[in-house]
Amino acid sequence: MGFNETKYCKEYTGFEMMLVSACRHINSNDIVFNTFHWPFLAVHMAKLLKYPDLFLVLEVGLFQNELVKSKKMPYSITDPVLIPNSVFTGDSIDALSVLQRGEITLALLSTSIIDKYGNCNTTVIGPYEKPIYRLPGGGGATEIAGLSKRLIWLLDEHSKRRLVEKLDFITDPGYLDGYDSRVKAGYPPDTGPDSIITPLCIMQFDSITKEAYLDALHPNVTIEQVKENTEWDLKVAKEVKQIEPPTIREIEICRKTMRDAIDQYYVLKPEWTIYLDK
Amino acid sequence: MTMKEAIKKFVHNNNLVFLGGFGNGITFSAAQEIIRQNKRNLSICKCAGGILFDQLIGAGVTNQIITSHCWNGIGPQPTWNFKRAIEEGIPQKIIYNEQSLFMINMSFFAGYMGLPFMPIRSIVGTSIYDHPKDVGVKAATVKCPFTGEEICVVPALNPDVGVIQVQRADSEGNAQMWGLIGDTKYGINSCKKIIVAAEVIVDKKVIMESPERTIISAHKVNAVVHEPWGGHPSYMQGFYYTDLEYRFNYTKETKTLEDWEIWLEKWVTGVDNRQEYLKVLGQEKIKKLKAKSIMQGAVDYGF
Repeated sequence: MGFNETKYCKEYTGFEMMLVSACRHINSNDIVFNTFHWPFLAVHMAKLLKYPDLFLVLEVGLFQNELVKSKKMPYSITDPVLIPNSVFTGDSIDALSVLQRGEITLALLSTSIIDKYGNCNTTVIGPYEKPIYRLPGGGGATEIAGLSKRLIWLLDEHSKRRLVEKLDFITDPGYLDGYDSRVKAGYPPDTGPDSIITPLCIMQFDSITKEAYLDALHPNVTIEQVKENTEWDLKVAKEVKQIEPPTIREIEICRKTMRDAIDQYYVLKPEWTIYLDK
Repeated sequence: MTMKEAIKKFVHNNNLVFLGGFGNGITFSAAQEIIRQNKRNLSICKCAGGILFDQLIGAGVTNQIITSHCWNGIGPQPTWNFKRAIEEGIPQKIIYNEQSLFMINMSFFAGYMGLPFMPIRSIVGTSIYDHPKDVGVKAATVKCPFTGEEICVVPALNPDVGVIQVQRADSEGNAQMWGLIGDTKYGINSCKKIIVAAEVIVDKKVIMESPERTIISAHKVNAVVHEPWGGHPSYMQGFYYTDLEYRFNYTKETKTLEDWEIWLEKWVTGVDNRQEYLKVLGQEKIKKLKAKSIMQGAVDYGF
């Protein structure tokens, strides 16, 4: 495949690959809506690796374009360390205004359950009136998903219970029922999900049906493996791309970021962190 | 006025209550006094509920929450009282009036502006738009008379009473907050009765040195409470940092109903007020959380 060069890392977890892939999607001129919690890590990596002055908007109404001058990573979007490191602080209406004016070119959001049209559910599993499992609710993701120009969903687990045919509850809008239903509902035509990044692959959305399809595989993953772990009958690109493995440098920054996150009480599953101590 | 007196006088059973603070200055002291006074059937509103709402739910104080999110932000980890109430009806069934973060902010903004509703370009097509079914019309779509565009509108929220925890206020109630404001300014101004709790009470002259920091002015404030550390375990910019350890452990310490009852007794019902709570917290922790000063931003107001 041509990925045997020494600059690549040989051993890494699917979670690390997901973060590296997310980080690669960030461009220097993006106006990024930065969100808790995995996007926070991917954006932090982008700042350390390539764009220290990346412009970020947070839902609390804070804008920043410099690395936080602190040894610690912010524990959340509300960490007071962010305040003396920002160019603007206001309130949540200020953040909503940036979204509504169409100024956000890229948003990354992590979610737990997604359907084939890129809609997400962070509200409830099972019937709404008699839930099997109650989830927290969407916070600001509803608007961020609705109004950002390029939206990237991060899922830390690729399984049939996470990538489903139909949701019990739509908390965050993707392409709703597919085709032009999102625009008909009233969302600006230049907005909507761009990709879904999981530990296994990257999916993109068909330009007509708006259904997610397999576009690119993470290294050492097969098409069958992705299809077997997706609930809907996943369509596959004519030529599925092969994603470049993480470089040694990318993994170095990724693991530094993960360590900093753990120091700030982020809970990472043991299977994601097996290489952290090496 | 003390927090005890203010809550007794202004928070009544069946009220809709706004609780301020998004990260910065979350009204834990006020909420715990509400629990001690055994208020019942409160509806509570706040852009993100977190472990504050979890405590009010677990103590059986509230039967309706109006918010966009209820979880422990440190981890993140579940809030068990919230889950017990919704999944099992323990200690009672509650209604979760599903909001998005910006939808509830626009409802406060409408209340702040003295308007019946505000337009918003989101929530259409989602299940938030019309769930739950038993809270009446949560959102609607209207036609803009100028452009013909269809746009979603959300109703004003005007809570019966609201509480905020701020850095400083004068004795009349002019209250100043800096750092993150979140939904606090529009939320508190939309309320009918207002309690201001402040880390320090200052002379009015101090307020007038930087009036742009005032988020609510005294003309509509009903009670001023001097309540140092009233936001713990959240932070107050310039005063103290988040108690990450305490907030992280909260999920573990409240997992079962029995665990929760022990926690509640230790931190809320077993103490009489915030001063006693701080004794339980201990001097060592207080010293550790105290903010290191960063004085900055003096400007020239000359003319």
